[in-house]
Amino acid sequence: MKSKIKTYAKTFFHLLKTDMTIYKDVIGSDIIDIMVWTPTMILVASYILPQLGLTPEYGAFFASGLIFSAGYWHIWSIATNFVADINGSKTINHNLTLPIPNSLVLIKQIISSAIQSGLPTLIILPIGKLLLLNRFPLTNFSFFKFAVIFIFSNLFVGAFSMFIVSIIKDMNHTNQIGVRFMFPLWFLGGSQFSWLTLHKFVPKVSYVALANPLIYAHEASRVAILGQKGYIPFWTCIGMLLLFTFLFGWLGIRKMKKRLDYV
Amino acid sequence: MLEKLIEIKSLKKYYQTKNKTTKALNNVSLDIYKGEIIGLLGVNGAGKTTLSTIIATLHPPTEGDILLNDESIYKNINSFRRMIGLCPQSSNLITDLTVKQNLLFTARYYGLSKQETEQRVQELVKKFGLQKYVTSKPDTLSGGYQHRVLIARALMHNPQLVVLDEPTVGLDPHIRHQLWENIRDLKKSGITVILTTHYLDEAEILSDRICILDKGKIKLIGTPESLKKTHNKNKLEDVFLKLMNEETEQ
Repeated sequence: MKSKIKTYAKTFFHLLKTDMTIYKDVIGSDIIDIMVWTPTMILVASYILPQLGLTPEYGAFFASGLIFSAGYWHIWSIATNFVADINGSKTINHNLTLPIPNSLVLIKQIISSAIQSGLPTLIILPIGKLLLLNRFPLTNFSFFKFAVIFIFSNLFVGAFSMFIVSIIKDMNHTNQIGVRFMFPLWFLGGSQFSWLTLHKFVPKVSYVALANPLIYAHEASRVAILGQKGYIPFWTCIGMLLLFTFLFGWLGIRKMKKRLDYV
Repeated sequence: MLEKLIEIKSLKKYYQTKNKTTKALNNVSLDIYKGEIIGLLGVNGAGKTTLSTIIATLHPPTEGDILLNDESIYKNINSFRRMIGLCPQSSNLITDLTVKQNLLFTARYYGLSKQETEQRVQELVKKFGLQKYVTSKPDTLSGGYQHRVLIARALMHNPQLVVLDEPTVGLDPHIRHQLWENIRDLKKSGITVILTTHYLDEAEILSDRICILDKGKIKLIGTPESLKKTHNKNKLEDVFLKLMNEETEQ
């Protein structure tokens, strides 16, 4: 049993290493993407929206949530590549004949997606600080909490991307899933507001919003950077995120087993 | 006496769509012997690829079993996977990696050490004449070379059984002949080969036994010579056409 686990772990590691070897050539481009679109959003949120009545702190609030949002939107490219592979060259089929349980191949995919969506977003915090200076106070920043939410929110992104891939029939449907499912989830998932603000103005909707996993990821990211005050308790967010990670990971793998028809 | 490698028992594979059930394989039973080349022959949709991918453990059967030493392969599928290599019909090599990287990583998946991996890659690169292409990306290679890389990848872990799914489809005649040599070499080195093809000449020249599939069922099985003799024909192609005509008349 012990040697079996060791063998599986080795294969799993090398499968992950393959993905990282490929990703090494792409990460630069992902970082450039983030360096272009996140400052644009942070600057608008910090210097233009306050002119319309928002508080000057909104920029820091928005930038803190953006660390998760950027990873979330990376699902788009992960899903597109994966669906293109399933319906095209099927490199996944080679992995599904390797001496490792096939569910581990998909768990590897989840972890690989988590790494690829998370790594480039690490530059958002320094970018935000550089752009906003005193408007982005880091006095309540907790490195430990930041590390925890960074890992768990990206694992969620990985599991959720597996679920998204499992419900996209083909390349023609990727846009529909993005517009009809992923965007509303993000826009209502606390990317622009905190859950308490929502609760204050529309309590009934705020309770419905608790079923949206993105609320917890955005809230916990802000707690780690800006402090606990005004947000859902950090560890509640982590617990809920973990729950949603397992749920979407399980659903995604189950649906993929049916779709890929593997042993 | 021929030694049995695997035993395929009453294999069925059904695909369920909204209003229809397609029987891709319908009660297929077949023994595969050690060291032989068995040709799976049939028209498009006969069930050749379905059967070969089930043997390669890519897809599960709906019913039936595959036995290795009288025990279901599904009881210890990962150890069975160590003794089998699959070369798919079209290239599924990773196009972002070089030919060498594709081979290196595959060896590592099967637990070969760094040193063993390097040695095995060198060996297979030489065997399949890929020296010039090791640093190339697979999508820059011609179809023939892509198939060679696919076969080399399927052999990385020294499998006892290799499934070649239409390895010569769409290739120029001289490239096909070169690949035939590669397939013969596999047999010489003691590897059992399941060769899926719809080229009758290829099946006749390469196979020790031929299994003709039609609509998911085995129509005929035997050595090329015995099939020709039984049906009183000079060429396997004539046997095949006779069978297909009988099927159409029915």
